[in-house]
Amino acid sequence: MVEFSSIRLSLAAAVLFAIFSDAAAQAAELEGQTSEENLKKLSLEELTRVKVITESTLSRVEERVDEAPGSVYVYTREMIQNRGYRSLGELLQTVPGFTVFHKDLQFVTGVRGLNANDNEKTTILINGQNLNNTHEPDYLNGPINLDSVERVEVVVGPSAFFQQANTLAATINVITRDVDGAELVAAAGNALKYAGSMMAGKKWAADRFVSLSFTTEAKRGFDAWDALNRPLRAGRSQTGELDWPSFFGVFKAQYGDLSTQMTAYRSTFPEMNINDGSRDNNGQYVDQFYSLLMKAEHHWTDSLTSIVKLEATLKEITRLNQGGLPVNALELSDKQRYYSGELALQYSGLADHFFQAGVQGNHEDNFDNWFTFNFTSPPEHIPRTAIFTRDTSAVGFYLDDTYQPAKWLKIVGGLRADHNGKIPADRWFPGARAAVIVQPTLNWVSKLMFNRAVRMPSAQAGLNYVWGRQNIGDPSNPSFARVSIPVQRPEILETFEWQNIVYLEPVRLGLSVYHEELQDFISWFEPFTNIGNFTGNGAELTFQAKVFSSLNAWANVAYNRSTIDAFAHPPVSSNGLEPQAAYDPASRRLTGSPLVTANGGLNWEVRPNIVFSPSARYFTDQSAHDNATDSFVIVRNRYYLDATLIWRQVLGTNAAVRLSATNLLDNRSQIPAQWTRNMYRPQGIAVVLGVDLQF
Amino acid sequence: MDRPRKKADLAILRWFGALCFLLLFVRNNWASELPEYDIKAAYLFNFSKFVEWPPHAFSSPSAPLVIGILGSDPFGGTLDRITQGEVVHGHKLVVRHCRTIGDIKGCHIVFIPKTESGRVGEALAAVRGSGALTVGDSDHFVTQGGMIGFVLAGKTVRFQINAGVARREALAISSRLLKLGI
Repeated sequence: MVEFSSIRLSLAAAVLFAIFSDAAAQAAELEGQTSEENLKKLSLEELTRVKVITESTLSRVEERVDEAPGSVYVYTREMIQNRGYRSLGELLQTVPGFTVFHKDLQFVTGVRGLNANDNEKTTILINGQNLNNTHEPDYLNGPINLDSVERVEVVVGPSAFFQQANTLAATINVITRDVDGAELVAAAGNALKYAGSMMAGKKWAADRFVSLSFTTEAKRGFDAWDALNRPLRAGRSQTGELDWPSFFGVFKAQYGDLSTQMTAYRSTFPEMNINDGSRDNNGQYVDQFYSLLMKAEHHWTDSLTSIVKLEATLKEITRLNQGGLPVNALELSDKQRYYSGELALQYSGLADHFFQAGVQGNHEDNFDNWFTFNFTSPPEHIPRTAIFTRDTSAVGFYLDDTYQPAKWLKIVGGLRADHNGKIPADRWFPGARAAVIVQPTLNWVSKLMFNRAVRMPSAQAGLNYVWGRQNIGDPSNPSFARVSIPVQRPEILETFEWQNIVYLEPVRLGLSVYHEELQDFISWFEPFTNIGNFTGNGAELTFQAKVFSSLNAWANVAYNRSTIDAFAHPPVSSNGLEPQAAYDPASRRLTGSPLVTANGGLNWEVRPNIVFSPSARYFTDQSAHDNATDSFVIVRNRYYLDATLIWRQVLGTNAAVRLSATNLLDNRSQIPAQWTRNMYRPQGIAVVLGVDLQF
Repeated sequence: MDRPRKKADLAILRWFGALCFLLLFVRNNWASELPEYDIKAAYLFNFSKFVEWPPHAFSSPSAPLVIGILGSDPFGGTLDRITQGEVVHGHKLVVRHCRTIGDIKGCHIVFIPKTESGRVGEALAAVRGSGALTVGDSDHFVTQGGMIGFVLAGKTVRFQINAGVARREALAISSRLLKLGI
C-alpha cells in the first residue's frame, strides 16, 4: 500500500506541476487565437495534409480521441484494410495491452495482464449496443468480418461507465458500415475457405436512412498441438475452424427521432470437449444471438435531450453432440431471453457543463440451461440436468458531468450504482469515473484518469448451484464438481491512469502509465467462483509518424507486471486441472500474461492507389504451463511478420484487390494456451486474397 | 511489492517525468488534426480564390460571391464565420443557407452535403448553365456530374475534379487547384 500511495502521489504531483507551470500561459494563447482565424490561413497544399480528427463515442457523444477520458484506439476502415485485419482477433492482438490466445478451440483475449477464463472480461458493443453473450462469448475468430465495418474503437482499461455493470478490462465498439448504394466483398485463402460480405443502404437525409450489412465465412483451421501438449480430449486436430452457418448481420434504420437496430450473430465450430475421437462423437459449439433494439431520441430544447431504449435479445451458447449421447464428454446448453431498457437525459443548459443521467434495467429469463455427462472410465452417466432455472433482474443509475471551463481544461466525473439479483447479498455496488484532461500546449494532451468498474457474474457463474462444493454427494453432480462454491460477489476493477499524447511534427506519441487493482476475480475453478485479488502496474507507448509523404510508420510497446493473490481454496482434486494452471504459484502471474508486447509496421503508398503494409508482432516473458514437463515455464521472444498489399480503384474502376499474409516467418514455436495446462502452436503462414466491389 | 518490481516502477516514473519535463519547452503550434467539416469549410473558402467565374455570373462587378449550402448546415456555422468580411476577386463572400432546390439558384458555389445525396441530381440540374461551381461530399458525386467532390483519403480530406463539367460552365479552375485534385 505504501508503494501504491507513492505512485499515486507522484502522478498527481507531476500532473499538477505540468498544469500550473505551463497551462496558464498557454491558455491565454489558445483562447485568444480563434480556430477560424487559423483555418483561413491554411493554404490548399496545407489542407491536403491536415488530418481529420478521429472521434470516439466512449462518453456517448463524439469527442476527440485524444480528449476522451480513456485510452482509446480507433481503427478506421482504411487502417483495417491496409493492415489486412480480417477478424477482431487479428486486430486486437496489435492493440497495446492486448494478448490474443487459444483456449481449447476458442480464441480468447487478455488485457493488461487480466487473462480471463473466456472473453467475459471484455465487452463487445455493436454500434454502441452491448451484445456480450451469456457466459463465454466467442467473437474473435469471426464471423464479425471486418470487411463490413467502418471502424473499431477499442478502449483499454475499465471504460464502459454507461453500460450496465457487466464489463471490466476493455470495451470493443464495432461500428458497422453504412453505404448509400451497395458493396460486395469476397475473399478466400489457404486457411479461409470463403468470406463474403454484402452492404446495401439508402440515405435520404442524415436522420432518414436504412442500412444492411451481412457477412458470412468459413475457415479451415490448423493443427495447434504436438503430441506432448495435446489436451486430453483433443481428438479433433484442427483449431481455429469456423463452419457453416457462421454469420453476422446488422440492419439499421432511422426516421427522425426513431431508430432501430437488428443484429444477428452466429459462430459454429467443432467442440473439442466432445470430439475425443470416438466414432459417435461430432460435437458442435454454437454461439449465437439475435437482438432487436428500438431507440427514441428527442430534443426537447436546444439543451435538453431524452433517449429511450428498449431491447430484446435471444442469447444461446450450446456445446452439443450431433449424434446422440456423446462418449466421454459433457454436453452443455445455456440459453437466455434478455430484456433491457434505459431512460437517459442529456442536459447542457448550465454553462460549460454537459450532464448525462439515466436509469437502466434488465431482466434475464434463463431457460433450457442443462448439462449431460457421460463417461465410461470410470463409468459415470448423468442424464440431462438443469444447472440453474432462476431468472434475475438488475437495475442501475448513473449521473455524469463533463465540465469544460476553458478550451484547455476538461473535468469529467460520474457515479453509478448497480444492483443485481445474481449476487446473493441485497447490495448496491458503486462504480465511478473521473478525469482531468488538460491541453497545456496545442500539441500536448495530458489525461489523469480514475475508473472503477463493477462486473456482475454471468448467470452460469452466479446461479450454478449444481456443480459446486456444497453439493458433494448429490448424485446429479459430475465428479469434477467439488472444488469451489459459486460466485458470491461481483468483481471490481479500479484503475488509475495517466496518459500523455504529444504531436511533434511529423510524429504522434502517446504514453500511458497505470496502476490496476481487481477485487474478487471471477474465473472457472470448478465451477466459476471468486478466486482472488489481482494487482498490476504497466505502461503503454504508441508512436505514429509520417516518414515521407508516401510512407507512414506506427508502433506500440506495452509493459505489464501483475500478480494474483489467490484466496485459500480446498485441495484440488486429481482431475482438477484448471486451478493448477491458472497461475504460476511461484511468480503469482496469470498463465499467458506477457511482460512485454510490441507491434509495429509501415504503410507505403507505392502509388496513390496501391499501399503495401508490412508489420511485425512481438512478445516476451509470458507465463505458461508446459504439459510435457508438468511445470511452469516462461516463454520468451516470440515474433511474427505480416504483410498486406492493397490495390484500390483497379484500372480506374470502383474495385479493390487485397492480398494479405500473416506469420510470413511460419513461426510455430509453442506459446501458452490461456488458463489451461497445455501450450499450442500458432497458425503458420496464412494467405488471403480479397476483392471489393462498390456499386 | 518486491524490490525489483518497485525499481521497475520507479524507473518508468523517472522516464515519464523526464519526458513531461521536456514537453514543457515545446511550444509548437502545429495542429495536425481538425474536424472534418472545418477542413471542408477551409477548402470552400480556398476554392473561391482559385476559380474564376464568367462575367455573366455576377449581376454587377461589386455583386457578392454567394456560397450556398443545401439542406442542414454540416459546418456548424464555421463557413459563415471564416467567410465573414472576406472579399475575393472584388466580391464580398456571402453564405446562403438553402432549404429548397430553388434557393440555390443564383449561388456561385453550391455545396451539396452527403446528407442531401438523394437530391444531388435535382440540385445539379437546377444550376446547370448558371455558371455555379458545384461541390459535394456524397459518394460518386463527381461521376454524377458534380464538379468537385470531397473524398476521405486516409485521415485527410482530398477532392476529385471533373474539369470537363466546369469548362462547360465557363469556369476557369486554376492549375494549382487542378494539380491537387486526385
